[in-house]
Amino acid sequence: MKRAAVAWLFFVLIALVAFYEALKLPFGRTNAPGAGFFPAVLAALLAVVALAGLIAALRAGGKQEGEDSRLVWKKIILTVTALLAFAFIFEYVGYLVTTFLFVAFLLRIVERKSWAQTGAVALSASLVSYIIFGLLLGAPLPAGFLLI
Amino acid sequence: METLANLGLGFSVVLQPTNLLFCFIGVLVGTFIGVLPGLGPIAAIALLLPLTFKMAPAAAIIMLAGIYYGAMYGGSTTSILVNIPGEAASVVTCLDGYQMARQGRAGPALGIAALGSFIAGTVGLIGLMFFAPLLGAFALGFGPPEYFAITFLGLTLVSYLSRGPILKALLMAVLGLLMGTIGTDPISGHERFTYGSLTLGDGLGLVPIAMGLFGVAEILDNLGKSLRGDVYEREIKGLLPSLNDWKDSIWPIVRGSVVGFFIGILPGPSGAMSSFASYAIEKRLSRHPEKFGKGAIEGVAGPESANNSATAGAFIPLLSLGFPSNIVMALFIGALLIHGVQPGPLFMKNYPELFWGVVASMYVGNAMLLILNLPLIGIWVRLLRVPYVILYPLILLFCLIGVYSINNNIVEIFIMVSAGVAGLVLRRLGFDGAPFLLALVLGPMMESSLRQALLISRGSFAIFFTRPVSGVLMILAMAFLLTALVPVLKSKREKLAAEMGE
Repeated sequence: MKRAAVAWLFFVLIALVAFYEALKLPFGRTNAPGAGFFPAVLAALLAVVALAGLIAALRAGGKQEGEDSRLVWKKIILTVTALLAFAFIFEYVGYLVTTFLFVAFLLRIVERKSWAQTGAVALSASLVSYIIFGLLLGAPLPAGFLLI
Repeated sequence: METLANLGLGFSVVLQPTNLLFCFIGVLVGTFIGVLPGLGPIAAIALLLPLTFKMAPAAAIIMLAGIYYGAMYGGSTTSILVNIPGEAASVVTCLDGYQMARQGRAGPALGIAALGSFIAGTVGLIGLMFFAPLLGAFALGFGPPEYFAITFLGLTLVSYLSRGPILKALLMAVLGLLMGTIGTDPISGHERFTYGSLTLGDGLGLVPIAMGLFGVAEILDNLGKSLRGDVYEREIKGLLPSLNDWKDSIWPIVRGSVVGFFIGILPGPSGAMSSFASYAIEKRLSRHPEKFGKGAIEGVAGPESANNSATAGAFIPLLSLGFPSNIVMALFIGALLIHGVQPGPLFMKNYPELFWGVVASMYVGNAMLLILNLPLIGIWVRLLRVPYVILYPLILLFCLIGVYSINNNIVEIFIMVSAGVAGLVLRRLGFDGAPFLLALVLGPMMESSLRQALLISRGSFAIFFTRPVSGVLMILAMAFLLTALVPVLKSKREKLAAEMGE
């Protein structure tokens, strides 16, 4: 099936799930709408729009909609992994180490920069951002088990 | 006379050293963001929003406003020198600006862009000073039906004006509204779609979603693409446009300022739209339209002026109705609400020092920008030579820390990353994030006005059509929807027909 049609189908499914979930909330009456009123109406509307899109996409024939330039998937997956890893370890490992590792990972592993450049940029990034956020702006930044 | 006294009050606010400093930081960051390709004012303001929570409200708004109109200045630099628009509002400037640079006229192009922006910024401000109080006074009589109609029309317009097929924009808008209902229902207190998550109990945060969709997604999208065009290496000289340049540009600047201002008031991507509109107008009015696209200075002067006065126009619905006409304005609402300041018809009356302080700060900021962008242009050109490969890890890092620092909540980082991945996929499939984000913000406002209106009318939907203001707005919105949906069917049919013919 075409990519565009898959996306529209996905939205139809989202709409149906949301509608089902919204019906569990008190709907109220139109003269006193409850918590479920607006979400249920929206979910129904979403289903209608998504179905219309699905039909249009299926009838549009073999031509794909949307941009189709090739993505560098490997880089994207690595970067997203780095972002998620940051979130997982940030509070345990602490600010300075995590930020250093994050920038270093992107520069060394994703972009294949030299060790020297990686080290210099990552070190200054983590120190400068610490000074800006932690010291100047007083944001509470986690210290982690290394206490730095 | 009263306006002058108010403006005096405004200047007394902005000339306080701290406010002056934040104004400067704002325009500096704005120019920076504008110059950098691949990071726009939305991501930048979302990024700095958490930092404003500890500032005085006036300083916060002055700084954020500075980022917004500063980005408009900076965007033109990248367009002219590298042929890559720094942000959406400068796309048109590439057409003639880059051609001028190739002909060795980068100086006058940058000069007229900055000076035109300054003039337009001032025109826009004068408009803001006069129209915002008028609309504010008018809006005092607005009740829930009017507010529902305004949000409805606003979302319709945003979808209508969004790029790509209208169905996709509508889908994003409805999805945004639906996801805006996540969290505790403000009227009944029911938990909706939270599944026990404390973070979701407060609703989906605007900042993580905005940064995900417009910061992280943008960067993921750019990974591996070469974002570096040829920076125009030759020394830039003669920033001051000649008398002849002025003769060619002065009317485009004036027209651009006026057109941009009024487009700015409308909901939607007003910066980009106003510059396109101005370019089209100038090309049509020109005695030598064939020069456009080949380095006509009018093609730089008009659009660059238009996108600047549009930023002033965009403040009108925000400050007088409490209605954000674009995502940047929605972030402003967030900044104001944190300080307990409710934008709306009473805003000017209750917070004159805030309103006039922001207005006056725009005068000051525009003057600062002129200095930042003309004599100091060399610094920004050098910035363009920093490889994107070095910049993007830093931008991502700032996004991560920025989101975390709002509530010290790791969950919000996950929300941002998810929004980033979703944004990347949607972008690739041709779905625009802007209607989604605006709907996410407007959702709660739309729902509460809808439910209140229905309570008032005892369940009759006629209330939206029988009251004059809301009736007109609803009919306008319906008209837009109809005209947008019919051509969809038409063009689809034509496409089919064309394919059959092949």
